[in-house]
Amino acid sequence: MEQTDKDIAREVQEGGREAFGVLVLRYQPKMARYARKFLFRGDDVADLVQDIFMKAYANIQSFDVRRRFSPWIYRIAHNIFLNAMRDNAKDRANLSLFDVDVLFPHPIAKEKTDDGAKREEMKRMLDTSLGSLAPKYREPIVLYYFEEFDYKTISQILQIPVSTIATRIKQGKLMLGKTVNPSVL
Amino acid sequence: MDSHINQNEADVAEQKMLNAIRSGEAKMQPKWHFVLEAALFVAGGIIILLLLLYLASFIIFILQQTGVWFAPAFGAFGWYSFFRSLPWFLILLLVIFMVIIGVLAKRYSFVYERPSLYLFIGIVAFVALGGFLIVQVPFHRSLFDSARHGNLPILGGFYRGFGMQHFGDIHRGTIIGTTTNGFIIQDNGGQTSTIFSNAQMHFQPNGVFGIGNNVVVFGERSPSGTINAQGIQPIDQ
Repeated sequence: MEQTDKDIAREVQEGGREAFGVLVLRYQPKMARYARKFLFRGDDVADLVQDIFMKAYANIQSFDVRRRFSPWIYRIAHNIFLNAMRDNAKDRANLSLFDVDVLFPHPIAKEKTDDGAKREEMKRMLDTSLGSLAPKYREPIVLYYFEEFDYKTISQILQIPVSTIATRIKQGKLMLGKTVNPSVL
Repeated sequence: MDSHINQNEADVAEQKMLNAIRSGEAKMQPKWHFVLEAALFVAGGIIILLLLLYLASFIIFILQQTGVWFAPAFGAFGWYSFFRSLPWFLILLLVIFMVIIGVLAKRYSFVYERPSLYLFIGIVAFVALGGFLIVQVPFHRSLFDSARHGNLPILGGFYRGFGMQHFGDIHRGTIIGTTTNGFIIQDNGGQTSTIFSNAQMHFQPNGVFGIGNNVVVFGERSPSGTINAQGIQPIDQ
C-alpha cells in the first residue's frame, strides 16, 4: 500500500530525510500548476517551487501529523507567492493591504457538485481568462477549480473566513461572466 | 507529452532538493524551536490578555473614582463632559492591545474561519465583561489606597495621577458637613468644595443627603472652592 503524505512527513521528522524527495515528486506538479495559474507568469515558477520545498523542509517539524499535509504545504506556497507578488511592482499594485470582505458575515452559497464535463469546460474557460481577475478572486478560484479543494480547506490555506471564500469565488465568476460565455458559469 | 514534461520537472526538483539536503544547504529546524515558539506565543498571548483585563478594569475604576462614570446621568452636557474627560491615552493603549490579541488569535482556525466582526465583538465583550468583574473585587481599590498613602512603589504615581484627577465640572466626594442651602464634600485627595443646591438645578436629586453619603456633583468649581450644582447624583460607595 502506498504511504500517505502524513506517513512520509512523519518519516522525515523522525530522521528519514531522503523520504522528503517523495513529497517533492508528489507535490511539484501541483505547486507548479498553482504558481502558474495564480501568478500568471512562467519565468520564475521553478525557483518559487524550489523555495516552497526548501521552506517546507525547514519547517517540517512544525507539521502536525494528525492533520492533512496538503493544506499545510499549500499555505507555505501561498505565503511564498504573496511575497513574490510584493517583490514585483506590477503585481504589488493589485494586492490590497486589508480586505473589508473578511470583516462581515456573508450567506454561504452551497458548493455545487458540477458534473465532470461542465467542470472541465469551466476549467478551460478559466484557463484563458483568469489573468483579468484581481489576485484576491483569482486565488480561491484556482484552488477550487484546479486544485479541487473544498471551501473549508481553501479557508485553511488562505486563513480567511469560509463565507468570504464562497463570496470571492462567486464574485470572481460573475466578473468573468462579462467577458466569457455565461452559460458555463 | 505534457505529463512527460511534468514528470521531468518533478524529477529535477526532487534531485535538486535531495542535493540541497545532502549538502546541508537545506536545513531542518529542530522540533524544540517550534515548541519554544508556540510556548512563547501562548505566554505572550496570556500576558497581553491579562494586560487587557487590567487596563480595562483600571479605566472603569478611575472613571468611577473621579465621578466621570456618572456624568451621563446629567443629560447632554453630562455626556459631553464624559467624552471630554475620558482617559484617551489609556483607551488608545487598550485598542492597541485589542488589535494585537486579534492578530494573535487569527492564527487559530476557529478564529480565521469566521468573519472578523465576530472576533471584534468577542474581544470587546471579553474585555468589557472581564473589566466589570475585576472592578467588583477590591483589587484596584486596595492598590489605589496604598498609592494614596504612599505605600505603592512602582504603580503609585500611576494610580494617584489617574485616580485623583480633578475635572472642571464633574466632582465626586463624600459629604462631610451640611450648610443652609447645600453641603460640603471632600474628594479622595482631601480637597473640599462647598456645594450650593437650589430648585433651579437641571437635575433634582432623589432622596435626602446626609453626612457620609457619596455624591457626584455636576457644575463648574470656582477658585474659592464653591460649586453651583447643576445636578447632584448619589452613588454607592
